[in-house]
Amino acid sequence: MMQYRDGRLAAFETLYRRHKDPLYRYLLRGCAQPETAGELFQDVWASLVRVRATYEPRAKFTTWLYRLAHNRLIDHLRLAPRAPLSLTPDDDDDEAPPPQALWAAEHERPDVQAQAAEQGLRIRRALAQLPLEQREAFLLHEEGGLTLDEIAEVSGVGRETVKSRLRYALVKLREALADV
Amino acid sequence: MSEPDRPDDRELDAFLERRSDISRAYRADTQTQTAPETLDAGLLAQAAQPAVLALRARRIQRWRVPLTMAASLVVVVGVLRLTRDDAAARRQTLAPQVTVAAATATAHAAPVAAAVEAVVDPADRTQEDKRKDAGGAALPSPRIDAAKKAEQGESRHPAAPAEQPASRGVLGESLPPPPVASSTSKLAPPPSAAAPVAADEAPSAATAAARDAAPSQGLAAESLSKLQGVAKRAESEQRDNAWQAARYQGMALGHATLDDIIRRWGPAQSVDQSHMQTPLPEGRVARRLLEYSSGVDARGTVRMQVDTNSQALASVSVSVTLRPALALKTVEAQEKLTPPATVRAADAPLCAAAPEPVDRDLPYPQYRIYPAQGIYLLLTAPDTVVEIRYFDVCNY
Repeated sequence: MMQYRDGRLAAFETLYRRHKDPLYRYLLRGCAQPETAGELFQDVWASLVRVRATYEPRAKFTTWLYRLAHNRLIDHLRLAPRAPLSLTPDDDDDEAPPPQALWAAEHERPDVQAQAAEQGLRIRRALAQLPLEQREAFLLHEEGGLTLDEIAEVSGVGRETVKSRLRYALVKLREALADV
Repeated sequence: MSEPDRPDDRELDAFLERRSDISRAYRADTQTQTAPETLDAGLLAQAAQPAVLALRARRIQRWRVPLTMAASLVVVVGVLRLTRDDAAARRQTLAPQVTVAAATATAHAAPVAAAVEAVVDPADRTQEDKRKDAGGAALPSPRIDAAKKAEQGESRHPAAPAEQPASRGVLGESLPPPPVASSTSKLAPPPSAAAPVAADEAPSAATAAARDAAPSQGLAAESLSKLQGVAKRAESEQRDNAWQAARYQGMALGHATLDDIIRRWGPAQSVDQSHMQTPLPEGRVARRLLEYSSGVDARGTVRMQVDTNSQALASVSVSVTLRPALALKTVEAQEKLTPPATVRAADAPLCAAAPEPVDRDLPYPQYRIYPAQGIYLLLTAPDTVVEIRYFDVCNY
């Protein structure tokens, strides 16, 4: 990032190639709509480009990048409260599947791609049913590779809160994947 | 509904160490899910422009130290010149009391001054000669010191050069002596002269040389600076003359105004007064950036820069969102782009002098420039145009 700040475009390409897929998945799982995820994805990178001149390496680059993404995602969810996203952990009907967009991108939907693994489907469904905070904590670790402290920093909560969220998320995912 | 049982921390630890079954299942499923590649070109192009600016800033930074040193040198030379003039005046007044030690210290400057005199402007030397021709009696000269010292030395060392008797006679009548010689080299005493005399003559020569040389050096630096400025202006004017203001959808850049834009396309979907990503031309104030993501150009998002003062449309940028991206020939046909075109690497300053010919094998991303149409194309691959830029003048 420092090299890109100093004008090396190749450094940006390296960062982009390294982080683009996990970041996109984080946003896709967060907002559950491929088109919106694409827009948010572009916004995050555009923010990075915009603020590159003031970038200071106070934290790991990944943490900084996911904080940008987290903020953008939260802004989007606040501005679009009617988005088809289940944020409540206690759905009355646990058996009812969430909207398809929540658990799969268009090109990954099982009705389009019959070979999609059942295991993958189940974990995506279970993940989509998690509350946003729990899902975010899970994704920040899985996609961003962030530690507890880093997740806490990105989310703006305490370390113990993150641990608690992850514990609940794991229990619910474990239940959904009992036979995994 | 009751909360599920809290797992023990072993499961959490396993998850954090990425060795839990859930992690494995999740990763196995997501390996194939990647970001759409259609976004890559646009984002990389977006990132290229600030990189260019940063590189430009870094180049300026690179010249900062040498320029500072050069400026310091000019100041030092000026101060040295003033100091020596003062010293010469004092020596003129207090010549008999000058100590050998002071003379020796000043003598260290003689080689430097002699070197400086090697580049003395002939015109300055002529002035000095004229002054000498006028008799030199009316004007105090540091060289008088040398003659006086020579006389004092001669009283102790009778073996003096042939020119000295005349000087001695003049000095004996308390009148300023005629110049001993017309050049510094002739001021040097013969080997037989005493050491104190040589030490006294050296500062005199150095003072005269420094007085002659310093103004010439300053004038030379000033002239060089002026010449560089003139050359730069001529180069800039030539470049501007070759550049034709672009037209975008019939609107002449530099003439169309904000009102024209709004009348034609309606209010912008996004207005940013502080947008500084696009380089601003020298001497112009910040511009308003209007963004139309749809309704203006089917090829992509349009961003227009309007000069805040004149309200004139200064530039238009079309970020191509079509997939696949536009081919070069398509754009050339659409915009009726005609040679001569030039190319420039994306990390080179826009509109700088001497762009490369098209056949130069430059890396991508690169700009392709059409001065006759006032258009830049940004290509990320040999046949992939990701941005089309229209400018009124080429001083960005």
